[in-house]
Amino acid sequence: MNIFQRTAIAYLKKNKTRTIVTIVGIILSAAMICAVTSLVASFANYALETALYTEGNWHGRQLDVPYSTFEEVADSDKVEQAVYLQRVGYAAAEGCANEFKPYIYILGAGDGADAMLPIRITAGHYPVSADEILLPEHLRTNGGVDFRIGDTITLDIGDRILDGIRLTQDTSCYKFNDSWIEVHNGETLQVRESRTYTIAGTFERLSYTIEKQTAPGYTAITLADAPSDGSRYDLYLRMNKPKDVYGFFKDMGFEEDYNTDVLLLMGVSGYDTVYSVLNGLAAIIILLIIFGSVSLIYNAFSISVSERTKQFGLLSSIGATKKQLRRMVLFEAFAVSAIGIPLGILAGIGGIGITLHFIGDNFRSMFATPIDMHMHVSPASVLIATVVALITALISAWIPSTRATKISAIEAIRQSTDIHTKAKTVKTPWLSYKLFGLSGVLAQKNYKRSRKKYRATVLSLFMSIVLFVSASSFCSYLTDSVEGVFSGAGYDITMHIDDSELNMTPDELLRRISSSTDVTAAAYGKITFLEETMTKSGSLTQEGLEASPVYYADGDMAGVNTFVMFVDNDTYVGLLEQYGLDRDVFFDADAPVALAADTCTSFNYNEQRYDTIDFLNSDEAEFVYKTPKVIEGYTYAGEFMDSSGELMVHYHQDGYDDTISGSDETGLIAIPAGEAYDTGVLRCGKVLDEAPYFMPNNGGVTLIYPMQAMDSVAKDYVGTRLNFYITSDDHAASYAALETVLIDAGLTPGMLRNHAEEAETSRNIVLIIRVFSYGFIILISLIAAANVFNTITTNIGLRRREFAMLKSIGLTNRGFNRMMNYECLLYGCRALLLGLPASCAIAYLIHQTISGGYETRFSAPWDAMGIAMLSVFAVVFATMMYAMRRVKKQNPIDALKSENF
Amino acid sequence: MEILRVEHLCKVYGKGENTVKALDDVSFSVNKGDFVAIIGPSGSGKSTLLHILGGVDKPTSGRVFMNDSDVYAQNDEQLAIFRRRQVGLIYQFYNLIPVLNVTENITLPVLMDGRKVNMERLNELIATLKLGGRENHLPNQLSGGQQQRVSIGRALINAPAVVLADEPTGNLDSKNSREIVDLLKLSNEKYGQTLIVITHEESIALQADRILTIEDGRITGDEVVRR
Repeated sequence: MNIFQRTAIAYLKKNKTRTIVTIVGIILSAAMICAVTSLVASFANYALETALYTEGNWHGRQLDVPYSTFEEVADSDKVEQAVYLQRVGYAAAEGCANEFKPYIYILGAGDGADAMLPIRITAGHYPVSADEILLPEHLRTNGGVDFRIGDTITLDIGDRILDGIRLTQDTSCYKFNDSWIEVHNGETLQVRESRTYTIAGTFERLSYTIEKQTAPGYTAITLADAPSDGSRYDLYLRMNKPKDVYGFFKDMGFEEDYNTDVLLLMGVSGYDTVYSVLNGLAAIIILLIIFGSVSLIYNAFSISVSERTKQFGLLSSIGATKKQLRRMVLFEAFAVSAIGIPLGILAGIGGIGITLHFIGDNFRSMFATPIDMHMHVSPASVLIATVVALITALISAWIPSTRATKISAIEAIRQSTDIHTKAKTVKTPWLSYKLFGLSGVLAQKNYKRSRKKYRATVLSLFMSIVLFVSASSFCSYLTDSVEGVFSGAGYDITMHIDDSELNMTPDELLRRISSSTDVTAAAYGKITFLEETMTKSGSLTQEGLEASPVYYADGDMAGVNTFVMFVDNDTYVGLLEQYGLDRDVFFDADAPVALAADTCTSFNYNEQRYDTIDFLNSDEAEFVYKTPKVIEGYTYAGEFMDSSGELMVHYHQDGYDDTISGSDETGLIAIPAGEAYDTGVLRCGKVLDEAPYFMPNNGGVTLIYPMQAMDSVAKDYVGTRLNFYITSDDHAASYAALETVLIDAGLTPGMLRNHAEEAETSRNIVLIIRVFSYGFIILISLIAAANVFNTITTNIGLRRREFAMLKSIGLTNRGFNRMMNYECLLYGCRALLLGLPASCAIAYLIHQTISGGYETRFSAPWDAMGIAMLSVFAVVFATMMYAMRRVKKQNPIDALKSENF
Repeated sequence: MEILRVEHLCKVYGKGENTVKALDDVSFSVNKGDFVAIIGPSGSGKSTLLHILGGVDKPTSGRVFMNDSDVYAQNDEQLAIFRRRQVGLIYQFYNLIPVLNVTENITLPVLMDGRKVNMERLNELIATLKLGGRENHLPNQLSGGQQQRVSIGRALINAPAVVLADEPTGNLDSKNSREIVDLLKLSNEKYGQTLIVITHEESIALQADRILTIEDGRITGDEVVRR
C-alpha cells in the first residue's frame, strides 16, 4: 500500500459513520442489482425447466423415417441421445363424443423415450411390454371415453387413407367446403391388424408440438416392437452441444423441426425475443436502482471529497499530482466496494432465495405447471451484478474527485471557492423573522448562502420522493390490471351446456352434480338480457337513476338494465323459504311474480374502488320490455340492416338451418323494426337482500323466476344454453368428481369451468407482484433514506464551528432547535415542491404505458404521495436530531479551535 | 550562487472596481544558503509572494526562476513534482494530515515520489527535531510546537532547494517559538539550507542574513543584517 492508499484507509476509519453509510449504500445497491440479475437468471432457468417439462428434453426431431435413419443418427458423435417412436397406427376410439377426434393414435416408444419426451403418468405405470398401453387423460375428459386401468382393450389398428394416401396427425379428418362449413373429408380407416392391450395407466395430454389441437387421434403410448423395415419411426434427438442441432439437421437433410421453446431458453435460437424482453425489463429496473444508488454513493463521496478540499490542497502544495489525488479517491471507492459488494451480492441472493422459497410455488398456477420456481445462481448473473455495482461506485467517486482536483492548491488551502457571497443573495423575507425569529432568519441565510451544499440534500430528498412515488404507482397499476379480472360471483364452478346435448332431464343431472364430492350447493338456470326495459323512475334509487341508460327513457319511465333468470324449481322454492315468501304468489306457473336481485358490484375507476349499487327502492316494481311479435311457425332471428339501410327484424321458418343452406333465402321473412315489437310487462314482488350464489354479476336488475314459469315469461328471448352453478368446499376435488359425473352422463368434461381456481391464480399473481414490488419499494426507500441521512449528518458536522460560534455568542438551545427545525422545513418543502409534481408526471407516463392493454383511468397516486410527505419530514427531522445530539455533546471551545478538515 | 530569482512579479485579485494588487512589480534574487526574512504589515502581500515562490499560487505576470529554470513555464504535473522536490513549505497552522502519524507526515513528499525513505536522514531529522518516541503519534496527540516541528521535518526531508515558512511561530508560545527558530537556523547552518521566512517578529527577522520589507505589494526595503 502506498502513502495515498494508507491515507485513504485511515480517513475511512476516522469517519466511521459515513464509511458505514456508504458501505450500506453499496450493499443495498449491489443487493438490489444482484436480486434483479439472479431473479432474471432464476426466471430464465424456471422457463427452461417449464419448457423441458411441457415439451421434453430434446433439441430436434425428424418424423416418419425408416429404422436405418435412427441407426445412422444414433451413431453420430454429435448426438448425445436419440430415441424413436414407432408409428403403430390409428384405431377407432369407441364411444368418443368428440367427432373431430375419432381415433386413438398409437405410438410405440423406443428406449429412453419416457425420459426424453414429456410423457407424464397420472395413474398406473409406464408400459413394460408391447402388450401394455398408456391412454391419455383427454381421451376421457375431452372424448368422454370411459376406461379403467387394468382393463384389456382390443384395437383394430390401421392407417387413415384418403385418395390412396396415408394421412398423419397433421391432417384433420374434417375440411372446409366451398361455403366454409366444416365437413368430413371422406377418409377411411384401413385396418391392418388387431392387437389386445392391457391398460397400464393414464398420462397427461402431450404438448402441442407433438399432438396439435387439430390432430384427429388421441395419442396413446405402448412399447415399440422389435425394429423392422416395414415400420416408420419418429426420431427425437438431443445433441451434445445444443447449437449443433441446426448444422446437423442440415447435413442430414432433415426438416427444420426443432424444439424451439427449449432451444430459445437455452439461448441457442436465432429468435431472442423472450430474452430481450426479460433483459430489457431487468435493464430498466437496474437503471432505476443505479440512479438511486449512484445518487447515494455519489453524495457520500462528494461530501467526503469536498470536506477534504483543504487536505487535497495541502497534499497538492507539498507535491501530490492530480492523478495521485484522483487515484486516492478511486482507491477509497474500491475499498468500500470490496466490503460492500460481496456482502450485497450475498444479501441479494439470500433475499431472492428466501422470497422464492416462500412464494416459488405460486408460479405453478401462473404458468400451469407443477414446477416451483427455485433460486438459480448463474456465474453470469453474479458477475454482471458485481461489475454494475463496481461501476456504480467508481462513477460515484470519479465525478467528485475530478471536481475537487480542478481546484488549485492555493484555492483549496484557503477554501476560497466557498466564499463568494453577495449581500443580495442572503436577504431573507420579513415573514421568516416574524414566524421563527432570529433562528429562522439564520436558517434561511444558511440555506441561501451555500446552496450547493444544500442542493445535495434537497436533491437526494427529491430523488427519494420520485423513486418512491413512481415505483409504488407502477406497482399499483400492475396489481390493478390483474385484480380487474376478478368477477366477484358467488359460485366456484360453472358448466354451460346446450339443451340438445343433454340426454337426461336437467333435474337428473343436477341431482348427480349435487351429490358429488364436496359440492355444497348447485343450481341450474337460463339467463337472458331483456331489450330496452323501463321502469317507473320512482321505483329506482338515486344511484340506480344515475346508472340508468337514457337513450330509450320515456317520460316518467326510466331505462334499467334488466335480466331474466329462470332457475330450477327446487332452488327457487328454497329461496322462497329462505325469505319466508308466499308460494301461491311467487310460484305461479301462469302469472308469476318475480324475485329481484338488484345488487350490482362494479369497479369505479374514478374512485379506484369497488362500488355496490342497489337499483330498486321498494320490493314491488313493474318492468316494461320490448319483445318481438309472435308469428306462428316462425322464430325470431334478430335485427339486421338491409341493403337500403333500414333496420329489419328477421324471422326464420321453424326447421330452417342457416349452417347448412348457406345462401338459401327461402324460409326467411323480414319485417321493419318499427312494426316488429310488442311490449311485455314483468312484475317483481320482493327484492332479495343479497344476490344468491348462482347469480352472475351482471350490472343491473335480475328478475328471478322458477323454471316452470319460462313458457309464460319472455320465452322467445331465452336461448337454449343451460348453465349449472356449483359451490364447493374443495373446488379441485369437486372439479375432478364432476368430470367423472359428466363422462358417465355421456358429456365431455371440457364444459366445466373452475372459477375458484381462476380467482386463486389471479390472487397468486397479485401476491407475486406485490412481494416483488413492495420489496423493490422498500429497498429503494432505504437507499433514499440512507442518502438523506448521509447528506444531513455531514452538513451538520461541517457546521460544527458555526454552531459553536453561535452558542458562544449566546444562542440558547431553544433558539438553536428552532433554527434547525426551520431548516428541516425548508429542506422538506423544497424537496416536496419539486418532487411531488415530478412524480405525478412520471406516474402519468407509467399510466400511459400500462393503459395500452388494460382500461384504467389515471388517478394521482395520493396514498404514495402522502406516505412520501410524512416520510420525508420524519427522515429529515430524525436525522437532524441524531446529528445535533452529537454536535451538542461537544465543547464549543474545542469546536471553535477545530481545524475543520 | 543564485538559487532563486524573481522578475517583475505581479499578482492581481478581482476585477474592475474590486481590483486588489497584492504584488506590484516585485523583483529580487536569493543566493544558495541564504536565510531571508520577509517582513511587512498585514495584507502587504507577504503570503502571496511566498505561495508564488512555492509554486502553489500562480502570478498574474512576471517570472520565478528556481535553479535557473522557469517555475511557471511547467505544466501542472511538473509543477506538482517541483513542489514535491524543490520546495519545503511550513505553515502557521502546521497543516499536517490528521490521519497520518509523525513518521508518515514527515516522509510524505518522499513517499509521494514513490521513492524509498532514507532511514538515516529520517532518524537524524527526528532526533534533531526532538521527536524521538513520538514517531507513531497522530497530529492531534501532539502539542503545537511538536506539530510545527513535524511540519519542519516534512519540509526538510527532501533537502529542497528552498524552505518557505509562513509565520512558523505565529501560533506558538515564546519558548516553542525560540525552539522552532533555532531549528530553522540549525538547518541553515548545518545543511546550508536556503530559507525564506515570513514573520512579524523582529527578533526572528534579526537572525536572518537579509531582511526584505514589503508594503502594499512592493519591496520597500532590502537590508543585509550585520551582526
